[in-house]
Parts: sequence; structure tokens; C-alpha cells
Amino acid sequence: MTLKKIFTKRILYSFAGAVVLSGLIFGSSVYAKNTLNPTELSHFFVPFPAGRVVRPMTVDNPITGGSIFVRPITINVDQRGILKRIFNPGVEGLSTHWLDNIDTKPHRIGLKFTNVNFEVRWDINAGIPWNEETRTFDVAIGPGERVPDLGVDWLFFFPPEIRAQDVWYDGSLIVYDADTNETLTTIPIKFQKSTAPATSEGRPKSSY
Amino acid sequence: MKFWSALKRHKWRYLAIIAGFALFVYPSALLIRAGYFLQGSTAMPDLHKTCFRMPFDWIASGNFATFDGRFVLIGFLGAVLGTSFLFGPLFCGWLCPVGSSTELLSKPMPNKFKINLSRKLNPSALRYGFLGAFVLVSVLAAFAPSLGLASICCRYCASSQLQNLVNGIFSPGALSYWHSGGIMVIGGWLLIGGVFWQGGRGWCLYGCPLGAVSNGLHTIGSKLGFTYKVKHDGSNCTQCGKCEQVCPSWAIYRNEDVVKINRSTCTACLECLKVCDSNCYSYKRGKV
Repeated sequence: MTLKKIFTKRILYSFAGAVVLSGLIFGSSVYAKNTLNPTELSHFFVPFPAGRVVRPMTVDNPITGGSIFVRPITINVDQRGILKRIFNPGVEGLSTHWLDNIDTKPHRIGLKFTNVNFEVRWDINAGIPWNEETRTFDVAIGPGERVPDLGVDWLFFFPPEIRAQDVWYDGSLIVYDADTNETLTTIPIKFQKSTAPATSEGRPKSSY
Repeated sequence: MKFWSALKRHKWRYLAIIAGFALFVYPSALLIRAGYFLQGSTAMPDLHKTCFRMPFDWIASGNFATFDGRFVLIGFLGAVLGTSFLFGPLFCGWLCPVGSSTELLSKPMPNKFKINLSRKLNPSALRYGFLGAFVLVSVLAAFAPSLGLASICCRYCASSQLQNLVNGIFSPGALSYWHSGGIMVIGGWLLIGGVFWQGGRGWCLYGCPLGAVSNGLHTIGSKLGFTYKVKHDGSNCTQCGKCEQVCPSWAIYRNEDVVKINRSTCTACLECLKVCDSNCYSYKRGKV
């Protein structure tokens, strides 16, 4: 075989390899995205004040003129990816990068969960000072503004006795004004299995 | 033993790699820290904030507004790409914590357990083939949103997984949460493309758009006389093959006993220059 043929063959193999490699990387990424967003580390918007969020809805930001999608969070843990279920079944996560003040006045906000009887780890990184003890920001968010450079991960450590139940957690994330204690937004959060009782909205499934 | 002799042979490079960790990886992350300081932000700096992929995703999708105010990122990209053109991909070879960590971790692993396709595949074709697919996916994500490909490159982010692992050294609790994508990245980047890959740079070669673009610029720049590049003078070459063995990015190959350097993958790490007993290699200006 001539050298030219060897190199042509090698280049053809390589482009075929590139197609396979791209398919593998992007295919697994699509899989990762489709498991991550609805079930494994659901990312959601948190506008305030938005009242009690009982169904998926869009709220307007009167200052910027934009709109924000907000929804109750329902996680069906049976829809998690196979790798998550095998290697890391007891820790669930929720995440946000978007705490938006849609009011016409500033709010210094605090965050809390209701109905928690297990460990929840708060991992908050923000461009303004955050008080880990009181779980409040030290400065107010202006009208129409968003907490800058925000990354919030909440990790829920479910012990085996809770994981044995159909519903692991049924509570809420509350955003409140830390100066007046007024509740601004309540987002219901539920972690449950497929075997959890059906509601008026049907069988349990992840909200996304 | 080979691991320690490699470190001693080229100690300036390994010191630079440590500096790369100090510049980009939490807890120090000095470069990102400086950027936040200038912006007056109290956010915690980490490697994830200097994303090596998202800027190319923004460019390919025409989303230029996302660069607004990101002066550190713009400066970082300009410096990496500019030095690549003039001096070769020095960031990849000397500073990048993602690639250097897998390269170092692969060194103690015996070669018989490592994947070596350097003689079967053309690394350039594989590399630019993947870059083409990356651009295509970014364009589709932007202009065909119904396909649901938005932010897909975040799902194979090796930077965030490296930062997680480093965080775990200082706070073991940081390792308590893993999603399916993160587990796949650990398998692909750290194990298959790293520890069990000849040279430890599998992920860099085939999964990093910044590396591919840097080497594209180096390939063009190396044709000009005023740029720096690794050169091989075959007059003293003994055909010992040591340079091929130590090259982490499969850039050196022999074609009928003539040593060639593939500019599409060479990271100017200068391992070849340090290992060659016959002083065949040099790093200097001039035409190839």
C-alpha cells in the first residue's frame, strides 16, 4: 500500500472517529441535560414578590419590562439518570442563579425552607454579602434588579427511612423581606416517587 | 521513578502548572479574584468562572451581548489566543489546570494500561472534526431552540468537575453531590481521556474548543518567520523515539525516519526539547 493511501485511510478513519466522538459527547450531554434539569439539579427562577406560586406562570418585571417564568417545583426521583441512582442516590439538589426583585421598592431578602426534618446544605455564592447564620443578604436588592453573580445550590440529604417513603419532601422555599418579615414569594417544593398518590393534576412527574 | 524524573527534567513547566492552579482554581483563583475585586463583587472566585467553552458557544451562536462587562474573560481569551499565534499554545502546555492535572495523573500509570491511538488516527482530523460539531451544536442551539440544545456544553464541563474535586480536598462535603452528567465527565475527562490516556491529554485534544482554536492559530502563525515554534533538526537524530514517548499531545510522529511536528496538537510544552539527548529540538523564531 502506498504512503498516500495509508494517510488517506488514516484521515478517513479520523473523521469517522470525530463523528463518533462528537456523537458520544453530545449524545451523553443531551442525556445529562434531560436528567439534570427536571430531576437531578433543577434550576428555577425566584422572582419576588410573586405571592404563593400554585401553578406555572409568568410574572412581569415592571422596571425592565421583561417577564420571568416561575413554577412549583416537583421532582420525581424515579426519573433521575441511572448513574445518579446508582452512585449518588441519597442527595438531591436544587439550584438558582436568578433572584429577581420585580417590585417597585427595594427589598433586603432572606430565604428559608418549611417542613424540613433532614439535613439541607446551603451553598450560596453571590456578588453581594450573604449572612450564612441568618440566611439573609446584607444589602437590599433594588427595584427590577437581580442578585449579581449568584450561584445557589441547595443539597437535600435524604436518610434511608425517608427514601423508603413515597413522598420524600413536601414543603416550600420562602423568600421574605428580612426587615419587615413580610413573605414575598412562596414556591412549593416536592420530592416524590412515581408511586406517590396521584393529585388533581395527575400522576407524579417532574415539573420542567 | 519515571514520574519524578519527568518532574525534575522540566521543573519550570511544573512550577508554571502550579501557578496555573493558583491563577484559576479556588481557593486562590487569583485572576478571577482580581476581576471580582475590580468589579466590587463579593462572589467567590473559582475555575468555573473562567469558562473555556462558553465564549466559543456565544460567538458561534451570535450571542455577543453576553461578553458585556466580562473584561477578565475577554482579556484572558485575547491573551491565550494572541500568545498561541505568536508563541504556540503556551496556556495549554504550561498553565491550563484542566489539562495539566490529567497529564500529571496519567504519568504514574504504566503505559500498558493506556489508550494510544496516535498511530491509528490523525489527531488533527479528530480535533477539528469535533470543533466543527461543537460549532454546529452552538448554532443549532441558538437558531433552532426547539431542539433543546441550549447550554449543552455546560453538561460536559471538565472545569467544574476539577473545581469540585479540588474543593473536596479542602472540604470533603463538596464531594457529596454528583449528578449523572458530572459522573460521566469524571469518566470521560479524568479517567478515559486522562489517567488511562497516553500523555493524559485526551480531553484537551478532542473535547476542548479553546485548545482547538489555539492550535489552529498556532498552525497559521508557525508558517510566519517572526513567530516562535518548536523545531526539529534531524542531522543529529538517533531515532531513539523518546520525544514521541514524552509528547503529551501526540504531536510528534515519524514519517520514514523523518521526525515531524503536528502544529495542530503541539502545545509548546517543550518536553521534547528537554528529553532529547542529541539536542535536536529547539524553540525559536524563523521559518520551519
